[in-house]
Amino acid sequence: MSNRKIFLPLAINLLFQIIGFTQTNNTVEIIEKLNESHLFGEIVYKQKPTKGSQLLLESWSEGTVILKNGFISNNNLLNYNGYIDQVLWFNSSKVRTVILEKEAIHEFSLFDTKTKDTLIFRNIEAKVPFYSLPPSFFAQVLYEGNIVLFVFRQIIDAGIYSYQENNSTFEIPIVKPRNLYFIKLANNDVIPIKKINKRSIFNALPSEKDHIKKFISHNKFSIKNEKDLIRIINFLDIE
Amino acid sequence: MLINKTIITSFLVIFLLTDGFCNAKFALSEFVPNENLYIHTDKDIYFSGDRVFFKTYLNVGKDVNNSLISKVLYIASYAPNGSMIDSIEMFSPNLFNHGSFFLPDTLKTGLYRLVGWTNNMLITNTPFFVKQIIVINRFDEDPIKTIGLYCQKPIEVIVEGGGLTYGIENQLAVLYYNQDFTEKHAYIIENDSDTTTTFEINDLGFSIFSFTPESKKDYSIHFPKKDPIKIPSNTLEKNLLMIRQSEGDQISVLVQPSKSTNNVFIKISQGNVILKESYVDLKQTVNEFKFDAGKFPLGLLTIALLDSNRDVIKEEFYVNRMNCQGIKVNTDKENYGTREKVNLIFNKSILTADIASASLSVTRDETLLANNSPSIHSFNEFDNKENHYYVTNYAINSFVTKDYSLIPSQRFQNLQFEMIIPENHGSILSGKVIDKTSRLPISRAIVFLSTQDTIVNLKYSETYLDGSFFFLMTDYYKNKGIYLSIYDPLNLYNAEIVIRNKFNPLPYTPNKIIVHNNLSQYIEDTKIIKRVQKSFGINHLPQESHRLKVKQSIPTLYHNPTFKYKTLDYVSLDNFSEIAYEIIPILRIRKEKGKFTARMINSSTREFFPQEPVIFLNGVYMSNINDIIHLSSKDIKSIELISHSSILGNIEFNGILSIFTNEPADNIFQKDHKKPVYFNIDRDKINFLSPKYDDDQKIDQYFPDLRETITWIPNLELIDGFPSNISFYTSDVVGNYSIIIEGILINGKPFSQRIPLIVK
Repeated sequence: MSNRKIFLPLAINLLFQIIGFTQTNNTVEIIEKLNESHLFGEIVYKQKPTKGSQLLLESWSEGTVILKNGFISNNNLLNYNGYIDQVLWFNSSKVRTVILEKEAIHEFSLFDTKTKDTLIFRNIEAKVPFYSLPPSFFAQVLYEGNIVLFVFRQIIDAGIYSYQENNSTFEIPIVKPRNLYFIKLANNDVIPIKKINKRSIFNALPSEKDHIKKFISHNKFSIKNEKDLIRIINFLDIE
Repeated sequence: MLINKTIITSFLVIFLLTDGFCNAKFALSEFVPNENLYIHTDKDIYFSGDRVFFKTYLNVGKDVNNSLISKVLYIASYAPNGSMIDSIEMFSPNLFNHGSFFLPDTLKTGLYRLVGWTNNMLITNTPFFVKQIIVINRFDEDPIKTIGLYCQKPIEVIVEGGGLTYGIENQLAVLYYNQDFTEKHAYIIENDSDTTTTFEINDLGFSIFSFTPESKKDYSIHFPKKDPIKIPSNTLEKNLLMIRQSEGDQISVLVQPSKSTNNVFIKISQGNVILKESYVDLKQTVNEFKFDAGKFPLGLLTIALLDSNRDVIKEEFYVNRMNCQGIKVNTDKENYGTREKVNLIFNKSILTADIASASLSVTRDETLLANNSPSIHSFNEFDNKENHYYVTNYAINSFVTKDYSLIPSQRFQNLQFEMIIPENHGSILSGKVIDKTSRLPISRAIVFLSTQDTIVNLKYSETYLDGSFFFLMTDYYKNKGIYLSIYDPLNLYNAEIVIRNKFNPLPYTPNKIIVHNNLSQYIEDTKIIKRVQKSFGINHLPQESHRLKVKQSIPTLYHNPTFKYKTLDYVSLDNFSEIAYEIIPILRIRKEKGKFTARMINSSTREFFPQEPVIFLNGVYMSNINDIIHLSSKDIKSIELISHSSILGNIEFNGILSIFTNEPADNIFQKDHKKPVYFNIDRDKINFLSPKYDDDQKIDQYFPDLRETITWIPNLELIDGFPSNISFYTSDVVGNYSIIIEGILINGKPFSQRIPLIVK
């Protein structure tokens, strides 16, 4: 039997197998796509130069965007720009960086490959006395129960950096991260926590001071980082 | 040697092709749940102008955790010529739902069909739920004659298979309408012999019984004081194939012996999958082959018989695993007066499992005998000319059938679209993009979907290889005109959109209904009731309407335009070209070769975009600025612009221009060849209301209460999986009623019970 005679039926069969496989996959793909929404935003060709990173994560992270209209968009390459308080989306098929419309977003998630944590950010409106905050901003949800602990991961100006290029002097802002922590109580009051230490927490929650003191002494730990803060908020929430 | 090679090659081709092809065909049906839809209507006979209340049960059996369970049901009523009277698309988040539809006053007397299905039923090739309903128009003079409820002959004999086949058990139906027999027995007599077989005759007007003719002679039926009627017999020389439901789980296949052959080949298959095949030797008497129905998959199966002449006889049957179970119900009294309270007490003892959902109707007993029977009697008739079998259904498909009932299937013919998607989240609008000239599908085309609104709303779908596109419809589109357009800024296609019609014509031959003698009286009584209802202005049953409050998900394209202009703030201008020139500095409109083009300045680069902006009129995409160029300041309310490069999914826009007019822009859309598609899912729910009478109200009530359906409870309240006792009040209409309870157990088995209620 010639090779042609063997390969012809095999090739035809392969074709039909592929049709079968493609059809199944096609259907699964259609069903998945149907429930997803297309993201909309402004294409960014240039970013304002700064000394220091404006972005929360070093690289694009796979994440989900939940829109205010209830639609969900999964498996997007995302990052958070704390300098302009915007979600960036990398459209890999068009090779475009896009600033997503802030007004449309209810929540988005990022996966931090370093810590292996999923970071959830929510578009919130919070008026905090003595704090100059935008009308709405993306805050990371650190803890969510009856009490919610947020952190606004801002990137702020910290000076001016001058450099020379082609015999010209350029000035660009130096930027650095600043974390603002907020507790949203069950009665919807929002209380800021200036720093992660005992005094700031006692100042923020004076009525809970004794409880917290007992909890800290009983468990023998000091408040140094976000995890300690989350532990205390969790304790207060359960209490 | 060469011949051998060719044979081997051919064998390989056939084997491998078949394997591949089967994979392609059955891929999707393996994933989706096996669904069966049942519909319980409040009654079986309606008058034009009545409202039909119904409850739907989606039985998914063991697939209860399958995420692809249908959330959308399709229910339609059809006239015999296949034309649709009404159609309902229901969003059904749970397995059980209820609704109603109105029978127009103008509907002629006839036998109509209520048909229900889901997309998954189309995918898995599951037969639709079909129920025949009788609609009577009170102005028709002789409705019984019109719908042919009575046969032409006073006594009629129907034999399974078209005629008696000797040596086997034949099923016979004998119909004797309007006959007043003094004796309660009739006889089958073998001609030229003394052999007689007796069967009972009754007041119901029909008898169904089995009869085994022992020899190939003529037989006749003898009624008291009537001329004998000859029973037709089969004189076919061909193999006769009959499928019959036996007791329990047995399916019998009866094959008549043939003079020309000693053996036949029996093949049972589902689609292209052969489930069983074997050669069987035929005896000279009728051959019966029994199959265990439990060993076959549920669904539509085909049995084919091939004789030595390769003549094929095929018959379809449907394996449906259901048990008929009842629920015991007692009333607190034997008879009731008008406007009297009826208490129903349920008894759990005979149920094998908890009830998942149940519905109850109390309606005038229409005395449709066939409908009272919980089983289906199919009579297969052989058409000599066409050389095939066809199945005439003798009775209406009732809710509960016996184990492994054999139901003739019905489904849409010539479905245009191969790709049907499970509607596990909601209703799907689908269609194809095809080339206008070649009619071939176009893949990777972009289809826009939007509706008229004060905000720009946009969804898009990219067509697949077969040109199909799909949109998940949300509540936002409910009862709105939806516009579909092909986004083709580079004018690449000469394409058109073909939308998949979810409701196709479904012609049928009405099934013969066997009726009781007093149906005429029932119709006359009901005519009077309808006339009184009209004269008192009681047009329909008491009912209330409530609109479901649902969160609307609007697919807003953008929230903050870069620029927004209100024409009222400026001097009135005659057309959009002038408006752009005078008011919108970043928009340039030019006329070239009699056609207008638009360009927008990119606010990021301060340069004109290379292509036209995407244009929306009242939220609907417009492919051409020329269609809106005539709009003046008086027509336009506001103009919004996005003047930077933006992207929606994978579509880049060179600016967005949105125009909102003071009045709806239907005329302009027509110019752009845009026809709206209406998404009419979930109409307003109409609840059946039963009045409650205490003693005072009973006396003081002025208006007549002429409810023929006393109560309709689509969702019986269940406590620990069992209905709690209920009460309702009778109406002013005296007569015989039926309390009909239907439902489904948690193990997926349906139950049905009909008990009498008398109002004197």
